Amino acid sequence: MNATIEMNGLSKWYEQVIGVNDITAQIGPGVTGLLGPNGAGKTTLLKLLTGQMKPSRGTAHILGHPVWNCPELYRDLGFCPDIDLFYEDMTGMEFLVYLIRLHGYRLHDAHRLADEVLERVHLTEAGNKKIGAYSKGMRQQIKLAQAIFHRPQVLLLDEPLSGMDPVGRKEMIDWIQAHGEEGRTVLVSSHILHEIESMTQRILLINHGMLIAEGNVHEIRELIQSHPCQVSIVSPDREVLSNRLVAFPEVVSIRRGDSEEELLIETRHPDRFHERLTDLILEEKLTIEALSSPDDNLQAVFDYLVQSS
Amino acid sequence: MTGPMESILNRLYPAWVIACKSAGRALFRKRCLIIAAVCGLPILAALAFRISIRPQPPGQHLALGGYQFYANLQATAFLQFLIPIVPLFLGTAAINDEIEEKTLIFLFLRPVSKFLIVLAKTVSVMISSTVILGVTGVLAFLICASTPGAAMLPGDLPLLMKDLWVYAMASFAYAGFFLFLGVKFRHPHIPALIFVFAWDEYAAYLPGSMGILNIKHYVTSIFPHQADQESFLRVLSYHEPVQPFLAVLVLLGIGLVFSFLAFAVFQSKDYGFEKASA
Repeated sequence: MNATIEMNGLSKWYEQVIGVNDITAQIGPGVTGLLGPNGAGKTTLLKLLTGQMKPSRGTAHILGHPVWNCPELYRDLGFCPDIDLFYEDMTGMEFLVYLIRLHGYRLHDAHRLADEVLERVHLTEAGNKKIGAYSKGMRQQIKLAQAIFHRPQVLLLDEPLSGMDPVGRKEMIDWIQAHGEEGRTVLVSSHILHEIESMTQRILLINHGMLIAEGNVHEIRELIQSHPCQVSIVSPDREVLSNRLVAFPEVVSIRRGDSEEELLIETRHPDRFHERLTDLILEEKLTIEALSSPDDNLQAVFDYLVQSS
Repeated sequence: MTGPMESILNRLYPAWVIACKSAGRALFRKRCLIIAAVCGLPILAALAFRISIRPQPPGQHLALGGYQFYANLQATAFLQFLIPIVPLFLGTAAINDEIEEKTLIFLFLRPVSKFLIVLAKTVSVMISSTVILGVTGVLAFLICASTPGAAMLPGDLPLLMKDLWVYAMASFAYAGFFLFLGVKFRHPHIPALIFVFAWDEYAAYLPGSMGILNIKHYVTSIFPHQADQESFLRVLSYHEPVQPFLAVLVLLGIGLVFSFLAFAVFQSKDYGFEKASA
């Protein structure tokens, strides 16, 4: 494998807090999933790989360059962070033109590139709206746009599907897969196994800052079969949704959540469940306000892996 | 010759983009309203002066003419107060705002060195401070120029240009210093205010040549105005003006050195860790 990302004993700690602990791994072209529960160290690892943090110990190289203090690397590296904070007073177009110009593009070329990338992320019409007025999904899209306008060789995405509606998720997954198939390196983090599984078979599993396993996702999938995956849906059409979901063979149980509009569903086949859910929402024109997968089940798998290792 | 120069300009281009964008955004933040209110005080003073002046009978002259009032305003309100205070408010916040709003990441992920980002922020504070001070200065100038018998325009326009030049140079030095404080301290306003109202104001009264260790010493050296009456304390202070060319070099040097120190502090801090480890 021609490794484009190399980590060697990579560690990061701050006083008593260990963020990443002695990770050694190589990642080649294509899509690789970085899987771990919340607080596992995924974001810290991505910050180390993008040169936002200096490692306490060990090294990280991307495309042969050390990542710390190497601004030229960003010509071939794109990063979509997990934060949901922007220059809220700028329009999507202004935001992109500003960042594109920092790559040395003159104003006219920056506008052309911004137009192109806004089209790629389906934000052409919203380009002249202030980012502060964007929906959660649109904010994810503009965040992706700032990471990909220069068609980087290496793309790091931190929880890119977080907060997106089912249609947006599918588009994003297709886009990530296509990007990987072009021979570029994509590292995607998530705490949800089926999300990663829908994009790639290659994963790095981390927990408590340590690399627990790397390899094929099927092995992890077998482990998780005994732990049904939980999905939380917040919808004003909860009753209709609940009646329809009962008929899904993938659904193990349905119960009411903490809030009035929340449904908690358990499924053993989250990928198939999400596909059918998307179809149902489109057919019945249902409104979904939030869709998330608490990671309790994944945590159980991690606990199992940690114990067995 | 074109090659290396073009290469240098290309390298500086992203920094210029950051400087202009940041300066533009700084001028439209809520903080700017407070600064505008403070800057409105000398304009109100100029207006009050203008309204109080009546045309004099032929052969009689005003005790305090438009030019003298403008010069006094510059030597007191501007030199002593506005010139350091405007960059203080803008400089301490220039990078801190991006750290607190977590937007710094979008600048870090570009092919621009961190030193150039810090320097660009210093230049942005210089630009926005000069714009604010410049607008205030021009308005005060126009009001004073409209005083009956002032005879200021257009002969004194070069003086106004010189004032704008002083604002820019002083703003660069103060911007670098306050940017450094902004990066170094969690609450930078306290040391910044102590600097402006204690050290920068009174270092000149300390024995020996301590006066050369404040920024105002060099600003005063290129300042084209003098107040009508020097205070008693002022007579006791150390102020041997340096050559204007040297003063400009020192002011530019202060801005650059403190920008570099800000970069060094900036480089040593892990701004992202708190969020990442949460």
